[in-house]
Amino acid sequence: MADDKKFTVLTPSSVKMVGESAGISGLSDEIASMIAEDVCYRLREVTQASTQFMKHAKRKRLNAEDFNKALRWSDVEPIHGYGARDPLNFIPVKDSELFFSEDREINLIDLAMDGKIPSAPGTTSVKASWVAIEGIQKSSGAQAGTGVTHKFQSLSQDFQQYYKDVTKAILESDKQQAELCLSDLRKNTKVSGLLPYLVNFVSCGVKMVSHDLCQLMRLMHLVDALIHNQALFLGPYLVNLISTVKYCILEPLAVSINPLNDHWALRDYAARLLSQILRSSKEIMGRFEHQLLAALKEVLSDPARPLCSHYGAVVGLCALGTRAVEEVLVSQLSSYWPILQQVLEDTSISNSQVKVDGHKVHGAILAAAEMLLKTKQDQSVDEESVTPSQEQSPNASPDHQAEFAFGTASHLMHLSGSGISGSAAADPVRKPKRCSISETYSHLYEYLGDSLTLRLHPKGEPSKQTLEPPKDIDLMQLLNTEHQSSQHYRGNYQGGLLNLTRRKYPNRPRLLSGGTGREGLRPRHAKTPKKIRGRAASLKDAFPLAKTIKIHKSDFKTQLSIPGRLVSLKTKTGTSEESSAVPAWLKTNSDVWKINMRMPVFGKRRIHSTEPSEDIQSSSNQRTVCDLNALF
Amino acid sequence: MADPTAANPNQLNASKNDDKSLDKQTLAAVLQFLRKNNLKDTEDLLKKEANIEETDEGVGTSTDQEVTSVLSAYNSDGDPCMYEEFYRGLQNLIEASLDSSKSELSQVLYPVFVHMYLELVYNGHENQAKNFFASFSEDQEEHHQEDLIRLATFTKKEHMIHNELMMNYRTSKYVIRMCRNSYQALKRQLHDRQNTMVLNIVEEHLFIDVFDGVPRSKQQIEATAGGMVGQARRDANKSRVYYGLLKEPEISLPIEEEDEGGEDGDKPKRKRPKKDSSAGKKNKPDPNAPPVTRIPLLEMKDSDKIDKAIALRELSKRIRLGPDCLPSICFYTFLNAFQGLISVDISDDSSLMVAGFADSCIRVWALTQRKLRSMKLGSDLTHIDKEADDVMERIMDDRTASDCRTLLGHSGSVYSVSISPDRTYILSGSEDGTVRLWSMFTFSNLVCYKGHNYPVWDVQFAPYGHYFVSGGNDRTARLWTTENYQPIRLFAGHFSDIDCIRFHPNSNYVATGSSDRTIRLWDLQNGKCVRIMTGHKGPIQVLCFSPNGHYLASGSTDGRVLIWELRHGHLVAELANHTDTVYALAFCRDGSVLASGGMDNCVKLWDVKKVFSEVEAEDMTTTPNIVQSVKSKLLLGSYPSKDTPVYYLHFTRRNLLLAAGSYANTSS
Repeated sequence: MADDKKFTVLTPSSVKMVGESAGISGLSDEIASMIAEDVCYRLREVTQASTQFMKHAKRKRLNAEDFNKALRWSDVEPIHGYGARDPLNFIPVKDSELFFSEDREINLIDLAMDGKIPSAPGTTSVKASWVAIEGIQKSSGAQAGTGVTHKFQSLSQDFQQYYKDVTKAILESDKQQAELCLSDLRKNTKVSGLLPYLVNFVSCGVKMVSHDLCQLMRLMHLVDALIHNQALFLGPYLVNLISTVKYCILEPLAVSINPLNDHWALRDYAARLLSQILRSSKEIMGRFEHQLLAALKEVLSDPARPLCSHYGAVVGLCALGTRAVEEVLVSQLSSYWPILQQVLEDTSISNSQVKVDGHKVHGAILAAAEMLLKTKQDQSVDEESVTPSQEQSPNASPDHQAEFAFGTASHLMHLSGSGISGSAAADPVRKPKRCSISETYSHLYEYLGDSLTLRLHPKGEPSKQTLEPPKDIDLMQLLNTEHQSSQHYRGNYQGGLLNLTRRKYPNRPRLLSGGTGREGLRPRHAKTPKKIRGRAASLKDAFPLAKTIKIHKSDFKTQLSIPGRLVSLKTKTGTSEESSAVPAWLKTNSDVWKINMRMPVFGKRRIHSTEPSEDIQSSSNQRTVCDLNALF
Repeated sequence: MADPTAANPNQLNASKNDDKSLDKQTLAAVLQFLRKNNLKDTEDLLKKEANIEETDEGVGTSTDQEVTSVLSAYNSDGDPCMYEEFYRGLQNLIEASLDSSKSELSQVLYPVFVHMYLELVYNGHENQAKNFFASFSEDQEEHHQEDLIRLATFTKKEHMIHNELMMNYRTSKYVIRMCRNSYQALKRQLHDRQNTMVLNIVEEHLFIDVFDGVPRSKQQIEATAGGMVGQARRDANKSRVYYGLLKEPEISLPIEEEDEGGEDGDKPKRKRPKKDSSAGKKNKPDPNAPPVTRIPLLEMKDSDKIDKAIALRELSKRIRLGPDCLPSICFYTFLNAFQGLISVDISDDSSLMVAGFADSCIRVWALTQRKLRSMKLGSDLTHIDKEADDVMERIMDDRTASDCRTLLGHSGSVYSVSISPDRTYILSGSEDGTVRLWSMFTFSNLVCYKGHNYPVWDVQFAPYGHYFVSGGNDRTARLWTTENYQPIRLFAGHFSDIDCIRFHPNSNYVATGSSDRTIRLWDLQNGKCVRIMTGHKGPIQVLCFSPNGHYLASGSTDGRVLIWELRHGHLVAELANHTDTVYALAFCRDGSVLASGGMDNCVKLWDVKKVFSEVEAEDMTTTPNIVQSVKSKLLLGSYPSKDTPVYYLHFTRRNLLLAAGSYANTSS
């Protein structure tokens, strides 16, 4: 019985059973076994014959149709009803040797069509395409019919090797190799065939390695290389690239769990990439601007999202341009501010990490406001040079309604180049509905207070306008205090900030002495979203293990160096090592701060699970992180 | 093994008893038969005579039960347990033989195995048969596996009746070619070892084609092995084949094209066969060409002459292909072909494409700017001046112009389509057993040729029109003329389905490829099989003649493309690189490059000019060396498509390669 496994065998008892169902009872064993054997043989014979029909239909898979054809040609009635794609399930009845096929309601049309033809098939058509020109295979595009799935194996060997090399270099730690690859990718004119795979690699990659800042950064560099390669037409892949970049800007990445990771830099870099992609043509801007704005607005208006997402939304808005800042950020500020304020006001030790994040967001908003105002200021300066008008003071001319006709914003070019703290933004912005600079300023000032003033005159340049001539303030001291402001949570508040309070706004509440680090903050709104606090608290309760993660104290300075935040990565890495994933000081300095690790997350948003990072020094803390993993 | 020897004497006695009882059984069966047919007198007579000459009568009267008598040759009195021992004995014998003849002798193993198994089954030793099969089926060569699977399906005598494979083994002798020395060694050894069972099988069921000379090598044997019933007999390929091209009829042409003398006939399907390269001047007849009148051909119409003139003009623009100049490939991808594209044909001038689908419809596409137009209605046609020069233009109705037309009429998958050389007709062969002729003037069905009664796998128009051939599931190929609804020739001889069929460019021969893994060449004039070519290890899916008519290329499910020369029927080249079934083959118009494509979604180009020059340098009277594609670097290029199998290949008159296939048909 060696060949039993090759063929279906019908047992005599089955034959008897079928006989009984047809009304023939009492078949002798002998007859039953003979019939069974004959039926088996006939089945095999028909199956053999049906393969011929399969072969001639140029298929590899035998289907019910083939079998029916073979039956018809052996003068046997075809069996209908087995053309469905799903296998028929045989269901055993318990405690008896009975099996029956599942009898469920079926769609007759589907069955009749043999499941092959979709409900709305396109018309059968012929499409001509070149496979090769004079013997040279076209690298891509051959038969790029609708919905063609690309087959990596169909690429040439060289392409496959190149792809492997690039992806390997990106994912491995060899910095030099990665740089080499990226610089080649930036210039190589022949990589268009690989574009879909590289785009796919990046968009899948950011989700796979969201725990590894270094790799995420490399992936973003890869995007940078792709968008700078003049030979590539990104066209259909822009959607993917933009959503990938957006992912890095907005999502609460797993790297963000560990406060040592400078994921802020990643978000900044990604935002810069976004602005570069969008700026590359008006058409792209028009295509994506609206949906991006909507997405950013949604994040900003959702208090359940972690602060790092909010931060991403703010820098993303900056990337989209001053108009986006004005339209979304300024309008959202009134509802968002209380949330941020609440975070910043909470002086409890358990809140410290979140507060750090809050400062980051605060800084980002400041930067955005500064950018907005500077742009406006420049516009009004330009305006003035054309039509000399009276002094522009916030109070003097609130009704200034001059309309400016300017080109599309491209102010971020200089952002990426020199940073926002540098020279004033020179690019004008065209806005359909613009408020005068003074209006905007007064609006922003209500929230941001004097730190805004500082930012507008960081280098002590006297303003041409009489915006807020802070004559009673030592500018250098102010700059210092700004740094100090970021250290307030440590309790070494030096004072002096009180000077910042402008007397021009008597309505503005004074800062409490003792400083909470929210200089210029508006008092909390009456309607504090208690829900959030409640959630945070409950989260804390829920994860009692998430307690002690060691943080180096000096890290915060670099993390919160707000003015330099939008400086391009290169210049930053040139001056300080802190932005790279594993700061050098971490390994040597034993001065470690213990703070309560609170998840920078509110509500249902999950943080991606992370692997134990090298950044954590003691093994006990490693366990903590592991436990965290288990919890999520 | 001790057991059977001990049981042997008993067994002999038993078999004698069997003999007698069997005769009685036969007699009883005959009597029963007579009774059933009311042949009372005969029955009485037989009863009377039964005492005296029972055996003679038994054999004589049972002939009407044809099948039974055919099978009864398997009647054997051998001990079922002895089969394994005898077979093992044969294996040992071959193992112990001289190295030089070992591979020749081992050819015997497979047929002996098959026949032993069938004997066991026939005699009702089901379990022994199964054991025998299990013990030795693994030892058989790879290319027999498909038949072995089928063989294993019979386990009862009743199964053997009406089975195609079974009948093939029974009705024809398995042909093995062997040199005299090997043959004699085999015979002597079998006698010495008293291996009577094997000896009987060899004598009864095998045809050993003995030749004088040195034994063939293993490679040589393997190259030609694969046929369902062994190799071709040597004398099968002795008759003369006129493989040259017909003399080109003189026509006045607007352009002189005499500079093309060096190249052989270019268009296999058009009336422009040129003389063979060896013929030199135009007026000297090719010694290998058949007389023009050997097969009656239709007179050339005026439109044919114009068409030919256009073709010749194209000729001057043709690119000469070679290793340094490869063709451009244009792929026609069928999108949304959920019904299942099966067959494609492109007209010789590359202006029309016809496709047959599994849902029994046929679609015609115009590949050029010239749209497909129907003829005007009869009432309109009466107003047309029939003497006008442009009458053919005037009869067409411009309002019906479209890029695609659908032809409905078949009631089964359309397995093959063919466009007539003058592009006025389309032929289609279908699963419903019919071949249909369609008009390109009215886009309707003109004739339905019924004759096959079983699915028609392939049809093709003759290169000069008028004739066409079809082949199908009934294992016959038929020659038809378009005006006659019955076939005028019937080519029978294949042991299994005829999967593909092709006309020789001179219209005098037809080549058929079959599931019995052989290729046959048939003479149209007398319907005889003039060549049998074995070597493929799977069913032959596609055939293609070289433009000069000297060579035939064939593709198979084994993924190999083989090239045969027709003068002696020798295999001359093996092109192996495809990983799956080869569906399409096309020689470029000057015959220097062969394109192949198949299920592996790949078009490959082969340098066949190299093959031909090597072959022509050889002495063809003996078996030539087979040019191997790997060794000789024949592969010029491989061009994968993304996910589209290549169903059809076609070289335009200017040597642009067109490929066609259906996207995502194989994704399921």
